[in-house]
Amino acid sequence: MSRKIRITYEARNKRDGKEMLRWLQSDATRLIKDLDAEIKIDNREQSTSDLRPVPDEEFETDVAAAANEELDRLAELAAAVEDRQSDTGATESESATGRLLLRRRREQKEAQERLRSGIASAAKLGIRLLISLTGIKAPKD
Amino acid sequence: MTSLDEFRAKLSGRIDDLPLVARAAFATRCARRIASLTPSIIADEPTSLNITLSHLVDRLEEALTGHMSGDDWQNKFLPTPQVRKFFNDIATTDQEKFAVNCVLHAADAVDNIFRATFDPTQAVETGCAAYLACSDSVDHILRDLRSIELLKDSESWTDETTVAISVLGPLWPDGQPKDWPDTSSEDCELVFEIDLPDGATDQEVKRRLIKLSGELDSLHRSYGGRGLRVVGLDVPREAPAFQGVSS
Repeated sequence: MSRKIRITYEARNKRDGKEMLRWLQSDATRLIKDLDAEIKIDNREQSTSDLRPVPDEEFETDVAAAANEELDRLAELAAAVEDRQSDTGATESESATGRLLLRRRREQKEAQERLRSGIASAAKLGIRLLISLTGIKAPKD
Repeated sequence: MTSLDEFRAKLSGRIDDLPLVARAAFATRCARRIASLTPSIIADEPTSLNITLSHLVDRLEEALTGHMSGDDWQNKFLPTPQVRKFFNDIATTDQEKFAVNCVLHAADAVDNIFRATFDPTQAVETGCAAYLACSDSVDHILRDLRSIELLKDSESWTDETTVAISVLGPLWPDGQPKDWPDTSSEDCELVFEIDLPDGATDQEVKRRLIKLSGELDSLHRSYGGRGLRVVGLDVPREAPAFQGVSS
């Protein structure tokens, strides 16, 4: 019997619109769907040796903390890059807005490709992200 | 302030120069912006038809990506006369009526893709309905149009080029306008359930989850967000009942 883990993310800055979480969900769902056939094949190739019990509470806390350490590190890196860009005196002119749009577009393609590779690589180990249970919780109120 | 006629004239010439799907993308972006501003009685509350304006826009966005067949669009997602009547009936204020018009015009603009109809009118009228629903959105609408034009040129879009609406970045990059309904990500969480193989070691699981987190974080930032944080990691004891995506 396989194990399941549920990992929950929120936007680091709540002012970021919820549409971006929806786009992440949509991208990940599409990538997983595209890779689904490959994932099924790889699952059949998995060894069932080295059985372990489901992760305990300590393991859950440890992994969540490690993931957040990595996300904190990425946030510091991003902040440093942002500082450098603001030092160059970038303005909100139309050309600056256009450059930002095209730079983000390039970054989106790169990030989507990395996520695709990550999901495919995980699939090769039989790690599978479930599409149907991926979603954004509705506002609590 | 730009009058409606001036605004329509500005849109007409420029939308005419856009490829087919890009026109529908412009209309859908207007619809998303206005659906997010519509009072919650229409935009957010489930209706007797179990559909909201925001749900309609979800479908329009999906249709733009090319991951929806013409049959599915026609039979499942194209708003039926019943759905159109429902929204027209429930809209009471002028703003609500214009918002409904905006989303339904956008649906017609998306329908043009499946019918291969090269008529810019629906996209222009979507923009005009957005103007009427909220004149404060004009600058944002024109900026979206400019972004689509830039992407069309830089990526050589054709009539067949599908569009993920996320290419346009955040709806409100400088923060949403004061006194408009909250569209921030407060109380929204992205949840992944991950099925692990029996043989996976703790170290491997940890390494993979850290990597996945970094990849999702990068993608969030590339959309204009400021990254993610893990708020929970647990082993579900029973199947969780997730709700659908809320816009």
